[in-house]
Amino acid sequence: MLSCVVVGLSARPIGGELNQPLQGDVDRGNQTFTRVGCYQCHGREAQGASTGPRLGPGPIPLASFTRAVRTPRADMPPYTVKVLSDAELADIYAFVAARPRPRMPQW
Amino acid sequence: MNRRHFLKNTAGALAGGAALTGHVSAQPPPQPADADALTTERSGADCMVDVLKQIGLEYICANPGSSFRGLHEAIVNYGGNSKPELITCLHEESSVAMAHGFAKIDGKPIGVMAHGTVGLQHAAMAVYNAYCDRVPVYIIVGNTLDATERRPGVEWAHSVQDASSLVRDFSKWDDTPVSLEHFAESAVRAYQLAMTPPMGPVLLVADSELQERPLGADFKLRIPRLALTAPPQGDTAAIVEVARMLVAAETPVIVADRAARTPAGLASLVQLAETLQAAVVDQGGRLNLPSRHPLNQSAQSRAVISSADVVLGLELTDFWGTVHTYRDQLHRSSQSLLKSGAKTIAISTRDLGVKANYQEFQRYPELDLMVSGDAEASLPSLVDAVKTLVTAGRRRVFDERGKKLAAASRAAYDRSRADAAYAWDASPVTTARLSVEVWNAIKGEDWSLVSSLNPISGWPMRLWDFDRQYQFIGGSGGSGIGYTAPASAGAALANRPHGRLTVTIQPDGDLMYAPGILWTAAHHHIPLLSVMHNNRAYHQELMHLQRMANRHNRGIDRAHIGTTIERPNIDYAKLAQSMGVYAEGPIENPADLAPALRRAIAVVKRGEPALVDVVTQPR
Repeated sequence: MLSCVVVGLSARPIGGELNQPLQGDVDRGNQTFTRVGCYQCHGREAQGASTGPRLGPGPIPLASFTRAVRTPRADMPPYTVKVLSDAELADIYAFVAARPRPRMPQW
Repeated sequence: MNRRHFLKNTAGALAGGAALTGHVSAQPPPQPADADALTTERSGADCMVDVLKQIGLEYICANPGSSFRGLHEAIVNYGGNSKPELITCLHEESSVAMAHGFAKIDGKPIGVMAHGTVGLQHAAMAVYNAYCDRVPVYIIVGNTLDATERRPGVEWAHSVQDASSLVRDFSKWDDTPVSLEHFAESAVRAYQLAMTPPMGPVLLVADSELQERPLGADFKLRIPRLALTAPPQGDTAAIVEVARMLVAAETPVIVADRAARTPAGLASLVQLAETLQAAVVDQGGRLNLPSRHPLNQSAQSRAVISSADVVLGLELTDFWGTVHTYRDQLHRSSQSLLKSGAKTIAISTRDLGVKANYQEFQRYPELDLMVSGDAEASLPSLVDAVKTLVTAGRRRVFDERGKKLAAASRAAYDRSRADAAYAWDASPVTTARLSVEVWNAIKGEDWSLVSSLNPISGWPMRLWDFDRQYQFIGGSGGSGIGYTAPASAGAALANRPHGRLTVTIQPDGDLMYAPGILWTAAHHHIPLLSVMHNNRAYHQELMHLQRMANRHNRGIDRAHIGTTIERPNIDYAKLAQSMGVYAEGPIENPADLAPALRRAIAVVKRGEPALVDVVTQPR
């Protein structure tokens, strides 16, 4: 599993204040994912549920991900920089991007 | 002379007809001269039991109470504790919810007894659930109306002028009989009304004086004949118009919620859908369409509704909510899903039973055609009308449409299987893995899943093969928590004579409202497999707290306060074991789940309840 993922590959930085891509940390992202409550709707492994879609592996592009977190279009609670910093968001992106692809179980 | 003794000695005719109010002496009773003055061979409650037997109540669920002691004693002695048989419940909410679950499997109500005061207060939430879910429950409440007959102290605290008023806003009918003849007539009427769509809970007050009234040996109560009402069908001309609109439509969608009350309802909906080759969205109030039917488009409901040119709603709880999206942000907003020109039709008994105070009737839906009538009863004539209108040309269009829908249904199933594989080995166990393991364990049995699917992301309906009406009975109706455990026990009681394996996916918070239902299941040998969805939280509320905290830019660090059920964690296996239920867990490793389920199912197949505690992901 990747321990860190470079995020911010698009032209738009996370949060709009930083000009350099942020390097997200998978382990920190895991902790933050739990602490700020992402798991409540998306599951502890970001696998998705009726309350929120699967986030990873293969997350949506970072810019879209950022918009969805900061200014969600639908029902998701908005996470402003007051409650989730750009660095923390980068960690979360790294965490969801690093989720393993599943094997198809035999059932 | 004491009033009760007076009545015993003044012949049956008077006993049957005496009113509760009027010329009754409040003088202290004289000392009895002999044993005859202290005992009687027959009482009013015996007659009440005759009535309950005649209307066919199979069980009476009750937590004991002095206000119905006469009836209780008559059931177990005079009635032989058989049809009705007394089911001992440890909470009145459990009594009503058991009856709720039973009726959804069996199609008929069973009885509940409760104090007219403290018992009904306990029961009230479950009555509301049954009312919202359109389910018949037959409730008898004890009371002592005559103030001069009340024992000092508690009996006064347990007496009320108008017992049923507490739940009148959310029950279908009630009465307070003042004679045994009145009781008999109202008992029959109550049953009839409870069973007439829209069905609902009914209440009958059994006054303690009537119950304990001594009767002469020759007293005979006349019990009126029970005739069930044929359910109301939609107006013939309106049904033909519905058929015309459906046949002319290019992308019709049938949405069903509480449409299939019986297996016949499910069969009729299949027939309608197949005749039209129309998309069906099953909202899950009941099992309306087999889950893997090629026309079942429930997994992509929003897509099919937004592309529909005609939407037919059958017994929908919320038509407006079906055709709108709603955004729960700081400023609430909504948007119609319907494309321009789309027509909306409802067939429903919803407006036939609407009341004012409690707002479960939802937002006004602004329909193009509203047909008042029971959907299940109206479907056969609708199918006939549709068949009459279908031409060869339309048949070709329908067949092409059906092929596309079948392909979409297959694709949705494949997507669900793939989605379920994510985090397969995670701990806590995913709700998808939980659902798959339960399915693997039961799919060779004649099974019945009797819990709501919302807490587990609806996985069973996406992955299992539901094709019989009793295999799924929907949720609580009013979303009053505490329904699942007792309703599941009631459903299992109804499934017992059929030898079905009853399964419930039991949310932890729900069980803890009244966990004594586990004892009831053990005591009465009710074969029920409870698989705990133990996410250690009132998770819906946790998400609401998160929404509020984020909205106010305060973070969610404290959202767990008042919403989680941890520190200490509850050991549900021990809880169940303490009440005589076989139990295992807590299971945190998903690999341990399949063998635990096998062991628990072996217990259930021997006729006893079993519980497997699984620590799960939130949803």
